[in-house]
Amino acid sequence: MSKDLHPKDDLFRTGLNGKEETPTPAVWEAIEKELDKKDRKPIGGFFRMSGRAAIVALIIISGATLFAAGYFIRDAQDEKKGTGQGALGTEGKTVEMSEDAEKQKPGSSSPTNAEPVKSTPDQLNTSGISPSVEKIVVERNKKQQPKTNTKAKTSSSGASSETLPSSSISEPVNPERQEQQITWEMARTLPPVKEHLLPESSIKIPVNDAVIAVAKNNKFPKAADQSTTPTKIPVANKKAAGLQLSGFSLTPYVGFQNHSINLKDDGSNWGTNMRKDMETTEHLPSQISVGLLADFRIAKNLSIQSGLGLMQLDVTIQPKQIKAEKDIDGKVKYRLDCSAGTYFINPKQGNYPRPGDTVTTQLATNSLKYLNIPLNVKYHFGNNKLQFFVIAGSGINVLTEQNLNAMVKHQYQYYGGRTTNLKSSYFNGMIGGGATYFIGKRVGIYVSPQYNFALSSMNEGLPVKSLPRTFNVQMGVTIKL
Amino acid sequence: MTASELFDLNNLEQIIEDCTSGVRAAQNRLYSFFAPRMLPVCLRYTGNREEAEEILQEGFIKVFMHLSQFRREGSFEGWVRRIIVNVALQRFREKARMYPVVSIRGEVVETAGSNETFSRIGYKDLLALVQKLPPAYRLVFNLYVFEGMKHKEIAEALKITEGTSKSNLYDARLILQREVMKLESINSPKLASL
Repeated sequence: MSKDLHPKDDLFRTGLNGKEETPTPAVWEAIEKELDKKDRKPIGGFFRMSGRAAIVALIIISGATLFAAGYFIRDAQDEKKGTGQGALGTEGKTVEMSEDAEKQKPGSSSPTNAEPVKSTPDQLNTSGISPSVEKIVVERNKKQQPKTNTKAKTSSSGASSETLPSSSISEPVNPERQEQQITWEMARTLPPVKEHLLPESSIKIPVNDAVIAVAKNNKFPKAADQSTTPTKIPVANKKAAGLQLSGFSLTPYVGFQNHSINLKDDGSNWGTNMRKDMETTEHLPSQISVGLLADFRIAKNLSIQSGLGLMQLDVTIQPKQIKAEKDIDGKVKYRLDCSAGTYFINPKQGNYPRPGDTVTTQLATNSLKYLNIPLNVKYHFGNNKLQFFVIAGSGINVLTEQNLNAMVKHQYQYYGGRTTNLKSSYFNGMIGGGATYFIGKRVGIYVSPQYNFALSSMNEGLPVKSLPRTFNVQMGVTIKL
Repeated sequence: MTASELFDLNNLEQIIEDCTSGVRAAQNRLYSFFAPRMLPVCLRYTGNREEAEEILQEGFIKVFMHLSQFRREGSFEGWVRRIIVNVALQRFREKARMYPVVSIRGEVVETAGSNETFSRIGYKDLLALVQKLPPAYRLVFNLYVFEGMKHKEIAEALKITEGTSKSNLYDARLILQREVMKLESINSPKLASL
């Protein structure tokens, strides 16, 4: 039976074979996208790792920024309120409990001849503080005067030793202001003090706002037993208190950049000719970049640097002859290849071009703007005044803006737009050095010559890969937070 | 000037090399030349254009990915076509369970029209007839008629028995015959009445 249909098989074969139908452009676009993904695969691991590392670094830096800022703010608040340990023994004022204050103290007696106790900024003078004092708090806020914990009171001259009913003492320090109390508290960690007396008429303590004292017993010895030589107790400095606020710094900068593009062809004739053409016709003028760098110190001489930078890359293209070809949509246009991709010129004047037709372009410019996010490691050396550093790292450059302007000879009309075959981002490596000269404790002048080199090409789909290189001198101001 | 005319076959070797190196422009040229030839093949294996273009897309991605494996032993077009057909087969295997089982009752009878009248049916009508076939029948018909495969080879490719392959081909022919007769009766009622 099937024999009857065999001839029809032939008719189908001849009727359907050898025909052509043009697929929709979407098919090629989808293929191109897929090929782009596959192309990235072999080195994708590295870039994925770089991307992840950058994200992790940003998170760490953000966290560190918040931590440092929080610590800094808290420290500043503590300095104002006088309640924190961060202010302990640091460039503090001497708070003197005046005799007037003593007088106004309930139960306080007249001033004595006892010398007021003073201490240096680096030392907490505990003379006059009984070893038995476990906790003496001096507060500055009258409104927050302790209600029941004001049990211990300073003894006056000539008075017999008083028994402190509690482990804390609260005193109105400045009666004129009548709004502050000084709360004293001595950290338990301080060395035990023996046989010390409370000051009779005044206590001077080098604090910004408060002093912490701790006493174990509730007895104050007699004034007669006071030692005239104050016992000096080293006060925990910032380092001991864990305050290293100079670990984070910001540097706004201006960069003077000299660009060049390393062109690598794929070895084909087409690629070689294209590379030679680009090398002879393209020129990159110097540019200025701006940015903000954030440094976070992770070790004594080591810090991580990230930030944001805005970079412009202008390419001027000398007049050259270009040919008409079909673009991706199948329309015949003049094709202008440059290191930053391909631009198809659709002539607005004259006849529609046919494949192979040529025109000459006038001077064309291709302007590219990138946002640079670096991730660098810095090694510091030098002294506090002048710090030198070497730096190395990588970064991602994200294309934010692009525009190619070209004019065809004898047409006197500008054509402009985006090029095809230009990647939305590329990675770069960086090595450099520099110095920071501190003109104050927190502010320094920053200079850093650097060499940036592309790790991945800025274009794709062309037989010539474009790898930008930049010699950059950054100058800015470093502010330690 | 068509894409075919733009494509210089003398440069095929160079273009293949460029494609292997990942030069997108070369890949575009290769695609522009061969895609219009491959799309009708895809259309024959599928029921609609969307699915055909999906096969074309997947097929060309495989072509570009495995271009280095082309050994220059046969025609390049034949190699591309084999990949496209393999993608179509793979799709069929993946979707085989989704296709309904079609039971054809009847016998292949003598066609009323002559070959001459039959050949008047245009490309689009013929394609539509093939596309209307149930997927399994369409696949066997395509492999047998257009790819020149034997029932044994088809059975191996589709993991069916030879008997099923023969049966499917028979049914496909039967359906096509009926449809052709209908078409002819519409186009030339006189011939149909003969």
